[in-house]
Amino acid sequence: MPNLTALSPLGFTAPHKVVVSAYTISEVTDRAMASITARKGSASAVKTILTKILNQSAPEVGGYCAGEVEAFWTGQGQWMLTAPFDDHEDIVASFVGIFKGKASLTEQTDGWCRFAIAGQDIDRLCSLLCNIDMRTLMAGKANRTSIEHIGCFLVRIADECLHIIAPRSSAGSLYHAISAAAKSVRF
Amino acid sequence: MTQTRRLTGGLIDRQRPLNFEFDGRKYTGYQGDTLASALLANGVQLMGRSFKYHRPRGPFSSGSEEPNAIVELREGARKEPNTRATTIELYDELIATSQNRWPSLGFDMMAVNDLFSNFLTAGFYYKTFMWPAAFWEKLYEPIIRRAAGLGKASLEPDPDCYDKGFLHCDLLIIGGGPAGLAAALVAGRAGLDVILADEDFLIGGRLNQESYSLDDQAGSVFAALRYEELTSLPNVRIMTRTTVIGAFDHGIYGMVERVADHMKVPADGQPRQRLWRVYSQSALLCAGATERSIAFENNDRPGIMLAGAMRAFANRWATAVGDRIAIFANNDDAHRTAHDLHQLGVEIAAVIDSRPEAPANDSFEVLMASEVVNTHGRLGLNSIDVKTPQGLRQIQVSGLGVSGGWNPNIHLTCHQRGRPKWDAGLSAFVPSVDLPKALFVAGAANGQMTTAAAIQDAVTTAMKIATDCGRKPTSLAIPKTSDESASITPFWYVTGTERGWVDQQNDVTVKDIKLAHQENFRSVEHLKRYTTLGMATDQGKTSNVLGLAIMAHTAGQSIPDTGTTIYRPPYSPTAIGVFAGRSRDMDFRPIRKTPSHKWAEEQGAVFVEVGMWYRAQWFPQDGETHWRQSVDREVATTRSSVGVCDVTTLGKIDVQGSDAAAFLNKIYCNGFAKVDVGKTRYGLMLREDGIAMDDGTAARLAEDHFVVTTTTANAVGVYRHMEFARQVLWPDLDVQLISTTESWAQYAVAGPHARNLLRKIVDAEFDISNEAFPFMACGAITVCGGLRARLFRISFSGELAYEIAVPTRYGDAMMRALVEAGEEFGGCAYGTEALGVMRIEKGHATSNELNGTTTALNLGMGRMVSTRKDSIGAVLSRRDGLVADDALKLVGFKPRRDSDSVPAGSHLMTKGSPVDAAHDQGYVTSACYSPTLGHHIAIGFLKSGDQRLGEIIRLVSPLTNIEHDVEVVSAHFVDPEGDKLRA
Repeated sequence: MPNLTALSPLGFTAPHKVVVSAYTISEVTDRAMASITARKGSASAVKTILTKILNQSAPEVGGYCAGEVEAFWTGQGQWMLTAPFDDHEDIVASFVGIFKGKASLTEQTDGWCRFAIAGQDIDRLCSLLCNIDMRTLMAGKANRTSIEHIGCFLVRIADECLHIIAPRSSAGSLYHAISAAAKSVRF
Repeated sequence: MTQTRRLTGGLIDRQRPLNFEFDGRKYTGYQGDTLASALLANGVQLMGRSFKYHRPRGPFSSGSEEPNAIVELREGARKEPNTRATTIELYDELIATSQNRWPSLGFDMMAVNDLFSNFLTAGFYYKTFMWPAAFWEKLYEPIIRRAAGLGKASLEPDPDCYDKGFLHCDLLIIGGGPAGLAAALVAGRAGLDVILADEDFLIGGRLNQESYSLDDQAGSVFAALRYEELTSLPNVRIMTRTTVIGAFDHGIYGMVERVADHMKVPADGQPRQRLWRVYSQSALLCAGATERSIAFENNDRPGIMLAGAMRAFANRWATAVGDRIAIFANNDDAHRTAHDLHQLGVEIAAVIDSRPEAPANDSFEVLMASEVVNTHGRLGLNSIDVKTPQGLRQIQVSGLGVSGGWNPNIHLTCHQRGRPKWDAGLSAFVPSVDLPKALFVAGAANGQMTTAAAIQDAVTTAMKIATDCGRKPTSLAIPKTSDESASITPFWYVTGTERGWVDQQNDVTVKDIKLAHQENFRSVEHLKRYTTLGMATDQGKTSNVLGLAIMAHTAGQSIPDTGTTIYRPPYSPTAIGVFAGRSRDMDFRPIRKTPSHKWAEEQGAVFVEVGMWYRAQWFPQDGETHWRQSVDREVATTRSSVGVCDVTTLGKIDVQGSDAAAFLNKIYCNGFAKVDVGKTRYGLMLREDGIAMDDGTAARLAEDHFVVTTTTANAVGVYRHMEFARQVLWPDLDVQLISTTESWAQYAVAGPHARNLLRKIVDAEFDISNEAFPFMACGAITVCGGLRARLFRISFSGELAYEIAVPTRYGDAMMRALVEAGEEFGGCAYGTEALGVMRIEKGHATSNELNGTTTALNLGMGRMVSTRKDSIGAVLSRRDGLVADDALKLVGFKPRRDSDSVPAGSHLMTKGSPVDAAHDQGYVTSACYSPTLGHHIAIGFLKSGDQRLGEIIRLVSPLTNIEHDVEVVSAHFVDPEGDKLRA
C-alpha cells in the first residue's frame, strides 16, 4: 500500500455523510469505475462479455444493472462499469483481459465524485436539481443530466436511493447544490 | 373603532387577527385578507398615486390585474416597490408604504401635474424635449429620469434566495376556478399526472367570490370539496400561489411559485420564490376572465372600482368599499354586485345601466338608459353625476362599481404569437383557433361566461385530453347554478368624455387616445407606444381592449378592423431574482477545485479563476507584501533548484483503438503516425480554416493507446472537436475517446533538482535517469510505495522537468510529498503567474498567442505543418493570405531601458512612421518581468519578425500613454538551445 493518504472528493479522509432535512447524503468512495467502449464492430461481443461479467443482461439504453459489479449505459456501445474499490483498485487491469481487445477500457475511478441520496420522495428533490422526468427514472435506470451546470449521471438504485455521479473537481459545488435543494424541498 | 367597513361572512379567519402598518399607521386585519381588503375594511380607500398626474387612487380590482393600489412592501433590503395590494397576502407585522408621492399620500406636491394636464398629453416628451439637442443629456434626461418610475428600490443586495426547478406532467391546468377544478378532477380520476396551478392562495377562483350556489352548496364549499378530492389523488399536484407566467415552445411553461411572500421572512432554507419550468404533454388554460371598465369623466377616484371586484371584496373578504354604493354597467352581471351588497346590508344608491332595458329590482333603484357623466371627491368618491332620460342627477355615494363586460384571460394563448379573434356576441377577444400545439382553453377564458357552461367546457376538453393520452375518462356531473344570464350591450365610454381614464396606472385618458388618432398614431402598436397604454406593471389587463375600442370608435371602424392586442410573457410582474435563481454571488457558477486546493489554501495561496477552475496564482510567504515578490521568488527558485506546480487542469483525453495513431495523425498538423511507445510528442491542432486551434502533447502508452493533453481553457473545445472528427469525419476509424482530466492529479516538477526530487518519490525499481528516461519519455511507474502513477518528461518552463500523475484521491498527499521532498533542495511550489513568467522566458506560445487569428507560420511553427500527409487545416493554412512574405512572426521584445515595461496589447510601429492602423507592424501578446534576466520582456507578433532580430522598433500604447523603443529579439530568452530540459 502506498504511504499516502487518500482524500474523498469533499476532502475528508473518510466518506462524508450528512442528514439534510429529509435526506441522507453520503459520499461513495468504495467503488472503482472504468469506461467500457466497444471497439469498431465489437458492440455485440462487448455486450455479451458484459452480460457474463454482470451475470445479467448488459444495460440497455438508459439502464443500470446492480450487483457487486455494476454497470450503467452511457452511450452507443458504451458503459460505465464499477466494482468494489478494495478488490479492483486498478480496475482496468482487473477487466481488460476479459474483453480480449474488443473494448477500450479507461480508468474513471477518481474522475468522479459519487453521492448516494437516500430518503423519501427523491423525485421532489430532483425536481429542484435537474431537468429529468423522474417518472421515467425508476429503480434500474440511469440518465445523464446537468445540475447547476455540472454534467452528472443519475443512477436510480432504488425508489428511495439515488446516486449522483459528477466530475470530482466540482464535488463541493454539487454537494452544496444538493444540500440547498434538500433544505428547500417542502412536503 | 377599527375595521368599520367589515361585513359579515367571508372567507377570512376572524380567530386569527393580524397587525399591520400602512404609511406608518397601524391597522388590524384577519388571516385570509389581502392588504387591499384589510385596508378597505379599515375604511382606507386611498392607497396610491397615479404615475403621471399623481391622482389619488384606490384599488380598482381585487386581483393581479390591479393598476392602482401599488405599494412598497416591507422595509430595508427586502423592500419591494410596485407590489399590488390586491395580491399581497396579509401577514402579521406586515409593513407597507405608499409610493410615487411627496411628502405624503394625502398631500402630494407632485399632484400639481394634474393642473397641467392640458400640456402633459400623449406624446408630451416627444414633442417637448426635442430642442435644443444639447439639453438632452445634461438636462432633459436627468429630469425625466427623476420624475419617472414608480417606487424606489432598496439598493441593497436581496437577502433572500430563489430556486428554480423542473416539473414534468401529462396535463398542466392553469387556473383553479370552477373550470380548472372540474378539468383536474376529470383528468386526475382518469390517471393523468396533473399539475393544477393557481396564482391565488385559495383555490376556487370566482367560486370564492360569488354568492350563488352550485347544487345547493355555497361556491366556496363546492370549491373546497373538489380541492379535498384532488388532494387525495396522488397523481394530482395542486400548486397555489403559483402563477404561470409564460407559454413557450414545445409544451414548456414557466411558473413562479411564491413560496414565502406571505411571510415576514422565508423559513430557514426556503427560497422566497421558485421558478418552475414545466414540461407538459398538454396544457389547459382555465384562467377565467377579467372585468373591464367604462370610461367616463373622472372615473379614477378612490372608491371607484370594477363591479366584480367590489362583489369579491364583499363576498370573500367581508369588506364593503363604501357605506353607500352605486353601480354603473352595461351588462347583467354587474347587477349581482348590487344584489349581493344589498343582501349584506350595504346601502345601494342606484344601479345605472346604459342599456334601455335592464333587469329591475325591488330592493334598489335601477336607472336604465343612463350614464355616469362625472364624479366628485378629492381623496375619495363623494358623489356622481348621472345623466338619465329624465335629466341630470347628482347621487351621493362613497363607492361606485363599474362594469363594461368581461375579457377572457387569453394571455397565454398569445405568447407564441397567437392572434385572438373578436367575438361580437361577447364583445370581447376570445382565443384564436390556431393555438399552440397541445394548448387548450376552457371556461371563461374560452368565452364561456356562466359557471355551468365553463364547467361543461372544461369537462369536455379534459375528457378529450385524457382520451388522447390513451385513458378512459368518465364525465363529471355539471352542477346547477343560478348565474344564467350574461347579457351585454357594448358600451365603452360616455360621449363627451375627455379626462376619462382608460389605463389608470399610466394615466392614459380618452383624450389621449383621440389625440393619438388625430396625430395618426392609429395602429394598435403605435397607439400603445405613443400613449403608453398598457405599458405599466399591469400590462393593460383592464385597459387594452377598452383603449382599442375607443380608437375603433374614433376611427369609425370595427374593433377587429382596428387591430388586435396580443400579450407577451410574463403574465404578471416577476422579480428578476427568480430568473437568476441560485446563480448569484459564489453560487453563480460551480467551482472546480484542483487536487491540491486544500493544501494550497493552507499555504495562503492566492487563487485565480480559470474557466471554472480555481488555480493557485502564487503562494505568498512571510514578508512578501507584493505579488511580484512571491512570483519572482518562485521563478528564481524553480530556475535554480526545483519547483512544483499543479497542472491537473490541463485537459487529458484518453485515445484508444487500433487507429488511434492514424486518428491523431489527422488531428494534429505534425506527424504522429510514428511516435514510439513510451514517447511523448508536442502537437499542434489547426482549425478547418488553417488557424491554430490548440497545442499540447500526446503520450503513447501503448500501440493503441495515447493520452492527449490540451490547454486548460480549450479542454472542452478540443474534446468536442475530436469527437466531431471521430464520429462525423472519420467514422470508419477504430478510435475511442474519453476525458480523464479529473481522474489524474498531475504535477509539474521543474528545475535542475527535478530528477533528484523525483528520485525520492518514484519507487526504486524505476530508473528515471536521463539515459533511461530521456526528454519526451513517458511511462507507467509506481510511487511512494506502490501507488500507480504516470510520468512524462515534458517541460513548459524550459527547465529539466517532469509531469507526474497519480489517481486524484492521492493528489493532496502527492503534493505534500513533493513539496516535502523538495525542501532538501530549497524548492518551492509555484503558481500560474510563475508558470506564465517561465513560459514567456522560454518563448512558449499559449492562448495569448493561439488567439484565434494566428497560424502555425505566425507562431514560428510553419514547418511543423506536414506536407507529407493530410490533416485538419493543413491545406487552408497554406492559403495566399496566410503565407504573405511579411506575415506576422512570433518574436521577443526587450526594452532599451531596463526600467521600461513592455505591456501586452501594445502595438509596434516602425520608427518615424505615423501611429495608425495602416502602419501597424504587429502587437505584443504576452509580457512579464523576468526575474531571471532582471528586466521586462515580452513576446508578440511582428511583420517579418524573424528577419528583423536586432531592429529597434517603437512600442506604442495610446490608451496608456506608453511610447518607447524596444529591441526585437528571439522569443527564446532562456536556454534557446534547450540544453536545460535535456539535461
